[in-house]
Amino acid sequence: MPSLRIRAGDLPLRLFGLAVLAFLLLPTLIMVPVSFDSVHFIRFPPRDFSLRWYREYLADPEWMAATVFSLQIAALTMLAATVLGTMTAVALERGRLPGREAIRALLLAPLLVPHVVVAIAVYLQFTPIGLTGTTTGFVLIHTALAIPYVVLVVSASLARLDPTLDRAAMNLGASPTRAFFAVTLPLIRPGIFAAAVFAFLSSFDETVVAFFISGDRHKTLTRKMFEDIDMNLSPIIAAASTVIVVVTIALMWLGRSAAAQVSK
Amino acid sequence: MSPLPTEAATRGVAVAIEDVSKHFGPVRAVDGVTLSVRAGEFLSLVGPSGSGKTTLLMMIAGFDEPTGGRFVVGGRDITHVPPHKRDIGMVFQKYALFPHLTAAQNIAFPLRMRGVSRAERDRRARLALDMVKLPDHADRFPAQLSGGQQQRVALARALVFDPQVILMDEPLGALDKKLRQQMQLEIKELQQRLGATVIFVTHDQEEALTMSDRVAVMSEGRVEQVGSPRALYEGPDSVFVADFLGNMNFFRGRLDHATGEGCRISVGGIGMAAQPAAGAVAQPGSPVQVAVRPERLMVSREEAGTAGIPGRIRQQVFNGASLTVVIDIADGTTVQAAADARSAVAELRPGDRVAVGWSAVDAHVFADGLP
Ligand SMILES: Nc1ncnc2c1ncn2[C@@H]1O[C@H](COP(=O)(O)OP(=O)(O)OP(=O)(O)O)[C@@H](O)[C@H]1O
Ligand SMILES: [Mg+2]
Repeated sequence: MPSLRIRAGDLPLRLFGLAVLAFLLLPTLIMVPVSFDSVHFIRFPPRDFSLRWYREYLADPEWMAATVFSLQIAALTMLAATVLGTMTAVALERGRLPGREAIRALLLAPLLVPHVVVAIAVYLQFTPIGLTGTTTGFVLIHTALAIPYVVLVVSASLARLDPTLDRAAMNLGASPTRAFFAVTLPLIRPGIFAAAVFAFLSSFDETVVAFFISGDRHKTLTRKMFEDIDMNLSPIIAAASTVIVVVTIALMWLGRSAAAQVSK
Repeated sequence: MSPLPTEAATRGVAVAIEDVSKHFGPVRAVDGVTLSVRAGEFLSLVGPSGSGKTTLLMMIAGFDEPTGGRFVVGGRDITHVPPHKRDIGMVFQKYALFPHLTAAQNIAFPLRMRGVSRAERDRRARLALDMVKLPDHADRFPAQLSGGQQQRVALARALVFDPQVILMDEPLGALDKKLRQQMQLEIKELQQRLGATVIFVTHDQEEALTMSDRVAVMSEGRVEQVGSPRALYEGPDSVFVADFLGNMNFFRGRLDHATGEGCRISVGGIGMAAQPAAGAVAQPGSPVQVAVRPERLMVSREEAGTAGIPGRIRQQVFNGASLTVVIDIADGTTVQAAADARSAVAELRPGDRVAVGWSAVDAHVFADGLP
């Protein structure tokens, strides 16, 4: 793989890189110190250190319910999207289905359509059949939104895999199904793992659709944050944000190390 | 389960390829090939790039369906049998070892697919590793093996389940020359010891000649000629085969008359004896090409009364075991003669006038279809 080499002497280039990084990260990271402040309003920079807002966050049943609900639908979305997306990627990369470029384009469409459009459409469909504010409803739509990521990541792993390995397995007596489980699957496992992380995060971080289809009892963490911003902008939001950021970074790190293993 | 090949009697079976074609739209990758491979035979497919060798092999392995014809292996029509039920071993050009499995696990893979018990798998994988001279590499992953070692593991994996036929598509293509020659000998020896039927694809015609019982020369999806290496080398049926296998000189001439066995031709007005190739030769008076191997060409200093086609030495190249002289003959053709480096030919210098001749049995006459 070609790589851009930066010489140690390229100071301006390095500074520029750091600036871009800061631009991307600062808005997110600003919430972290704020969450450790002790006053009941948001100020920056914070002036002392306390775990008060974390305690409140953990003690508040509504925040906890939203967190658990978000984790739960993210986990279910991860399972469904990973299985379905992997099967789709295999069919697209290895199958002989006609019109597969059209199918691929259609599958990736959710990445391009603005989420708010999806959200309104889903809201209109889900309301009459009572799917809004339910785990099933969330998992359905989040799975649809996560599948493109899984298809992209798993397709990339499959494309890197030598297709003669499949043929070799079959030549040696493996049925196509067994060849998949004995050879293909173990070799793309790191890719699938990375895809699962993406799927989890795409649900856990999803905001727009969640805003529309959350119910009074079942709302996601992101939706709960929106509500709180409207009502009382307390540092508990900063604490919740920090939780999201930490979960995201931890999972991204896991996903990256899995992906690094793929390209090894 | 049948025992390991090393313990088995001959298990190779006959393969009949009957009028097989594979067309990709207008492309006739394989075009009506009929070949029968005998049980225990080593048959090579050679031919220029794109002549359909790989396509034919892939169809035998079952990865592609022919558009016409059928394959009969050991008396069973396998044309529509899926690859995993064909019982045909294959060594791929790039080995296709499973990177997540060790050498021993790779070799045990076909046994695992056949439900052989773990202990028996281990035992047979070990024997197979011994057979390919890698007893100490059982636990290495493919990435930790050299090219030649990977090749051996691939070979062991294709042999261990004792298949009816073994296919190899340029298995030695990625190896350097020395290793290649060593592997040629090892594969040949194993094949003979096991009595395996092998269909071997190679670009390297020398490799085909040294390893095979018979060679099939392919061109544009068809088999041009099949025969023992010697028969092909010494009795090509067509200009294509004559030109494709080994080095060959071509002289342009005219057919004077043909009898049952030999024929008389004239090259640049000089009458010479030759023999018609198996393909029918043209009418007397029509243009012909005469093919003579460099090592069969006789070159002598032109003196008064010397018979032969007159020419002039252009160049002399020393290449170790032999000496090649490049000769311009009168009609503008250039031919090469190979000679012993210590023979009288070595005394010839560029510019010297020579006479070129041959024994009738070494000169193959073809109708000259070329412009
Ligand atoms: N899937 C395909 N679609 C269209 N044409 C194909 C396909 N596979 C092979 N061909 C064509 O069929 C012909 C034979 O190809 P094949 O790979 O069998 O040749 P080969 O003798 O193995 O050549 P090489 O010595 O270069 O490996 C070529 O003209 C090739 O372009
Ligand atoms: Mg080929």
